[in-house]
Amino acid sequence: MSNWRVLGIGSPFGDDQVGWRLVAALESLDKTTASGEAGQCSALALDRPGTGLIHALAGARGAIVVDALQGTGEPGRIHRLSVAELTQANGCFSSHSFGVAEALALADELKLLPRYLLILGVEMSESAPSEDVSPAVAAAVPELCTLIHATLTAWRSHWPGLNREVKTCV
Amino acid sequence: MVANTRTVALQVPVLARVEGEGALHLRIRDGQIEDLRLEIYEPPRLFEKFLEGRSYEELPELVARICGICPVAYQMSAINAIESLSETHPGPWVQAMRRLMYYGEWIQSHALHIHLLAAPDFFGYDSAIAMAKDYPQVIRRGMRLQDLGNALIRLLGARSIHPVGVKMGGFHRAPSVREATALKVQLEDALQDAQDLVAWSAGIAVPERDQDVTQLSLEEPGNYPILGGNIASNRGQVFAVSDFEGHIFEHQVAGSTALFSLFNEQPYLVGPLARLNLNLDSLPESVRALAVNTGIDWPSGNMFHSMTARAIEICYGITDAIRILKDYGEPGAASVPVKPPAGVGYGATEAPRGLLWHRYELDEAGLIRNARIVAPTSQNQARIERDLHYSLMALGLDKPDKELQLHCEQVIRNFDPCISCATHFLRLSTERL
Repeated sequence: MSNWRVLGIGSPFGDDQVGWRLVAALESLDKTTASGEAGQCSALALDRPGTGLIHALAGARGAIVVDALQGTGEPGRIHRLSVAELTQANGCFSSHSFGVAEALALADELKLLPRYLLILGVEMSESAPSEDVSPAVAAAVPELCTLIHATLTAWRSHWPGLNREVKTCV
Repeated sequence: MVANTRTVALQVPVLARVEGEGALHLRIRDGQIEDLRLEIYEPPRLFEKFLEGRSYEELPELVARICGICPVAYQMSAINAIESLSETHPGPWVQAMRRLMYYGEWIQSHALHIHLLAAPDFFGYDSAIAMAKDYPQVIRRGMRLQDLGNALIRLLGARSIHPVGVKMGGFHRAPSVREATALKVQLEDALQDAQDLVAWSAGIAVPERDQDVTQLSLEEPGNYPILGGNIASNRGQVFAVSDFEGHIFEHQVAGSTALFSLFNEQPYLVGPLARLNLNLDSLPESVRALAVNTGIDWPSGNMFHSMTARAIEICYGITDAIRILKDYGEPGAASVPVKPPAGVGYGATEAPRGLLWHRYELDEAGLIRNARIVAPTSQNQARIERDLHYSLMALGLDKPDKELQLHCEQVIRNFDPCISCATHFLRLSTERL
């Protein structure tokens, strides 16, 4: 697995698919890149990873975590979140509800977070879980790809001695 | 001395750090427990009804969905039931691989329970996240072990949650020698972690709560039980898995959707502590010595020793998995055909939380006419309430509410109740007044 990772968290339901759609989009772009650039970034689709998120982050220099967000704002809007914002650990969780916030909080305490971490939340619409991704949320996927590309490029340019390693993730 | 005449009404609307959603209600009046109820309020799952009309071949994938923590247990009990109906003997390779995969589930489930759910109580933290600040090495060890358990499940199941590698008669694919060897190295590296965990767990000061508890576990000749055998009790009774319904009676409790199981008209315990108590002599010598060296006087009637029992089972799982993989070879075929006739099949295996019993009636086409699944948490339900009653009296009802509440939660967590699995009719709540 690459040291640079994109973790798309989702499910097969409605707008919650956005993390998986992103991974699919990145994989599709990857196939079109020139040889030598492919494989520089690992894109993983995860389903309720629980503590598995910590393992998915292990050893990464930089990771971008993308998940759907339940909000009251504009569907498809992309939020940059900090671990502190996301994690309001209240000690009231079970392993069945050990979510992204708890996993990142635990990884933070264990000093297992990568040096570079970007957490992106995409606001969901009120569409039913049985429906396809709403147009507003689907439209966010290309925007996410652009943002991720720029972020990884910037991270890599700051990584000592690795400037030549990668030009692009996708 | 002031007489204890106060009235306490305590309600824990959501139980933290148990699997799923539950609550506890307890009412104390004039120094006596007037009412004590444990409720599970996850919605009914009705899984048995979903299975009706489906083919027996679909069972491994369907029942895996009952639980994300112990899907292998559901798969193995279902397979056990159908193979017993068809009188299929899949051979030593399949049986060894089933044990291996099941060990993975024990290891990950127990490691998760010990480190993320149970341990924070004993160190005064309200969560593993808070505990990780001061005990990062302990929590990291737990995460490593959990990861190892998941890797074992993936070796045979392709993925650790709701694995897809299992089928009637065996597996869809046999791991390569290279994959098996790589995992054996991981297991060997983790053995020290597991041994340390047993000593660490046994070193935690726990309350003295010895009770005379009826306990049930499978009894597997020549092995520590996991895949089958008869059901044995610590009262000396032994009966076949197919006779379960003649010995275990479930009943509904007024005002609750919970089903309570009774054996000999008494609540009983299933799970790691019962397994260890009944099968200590079946452990390999190295693991049995480790258990004896904890200083705990096995068999133990103290549910607070459950955490150490889980640690010992992690150590056992790793030890036996290394043995199995030592001589690993790829088989000619990873499964054998299974063709059950019409009839009723019974199966039971030892899930991380205890005895998991299944019964399926099939028609001539192999479609399921009806199914019954009795999960360990359902069986422990009545025992949990009895334990709470006993433990609160032992603690002293005059203790501050906060202390009473924490103690109740610890007592419940000792059972590691998997409420999600047990909610086909179940509501769980505790209230203290």
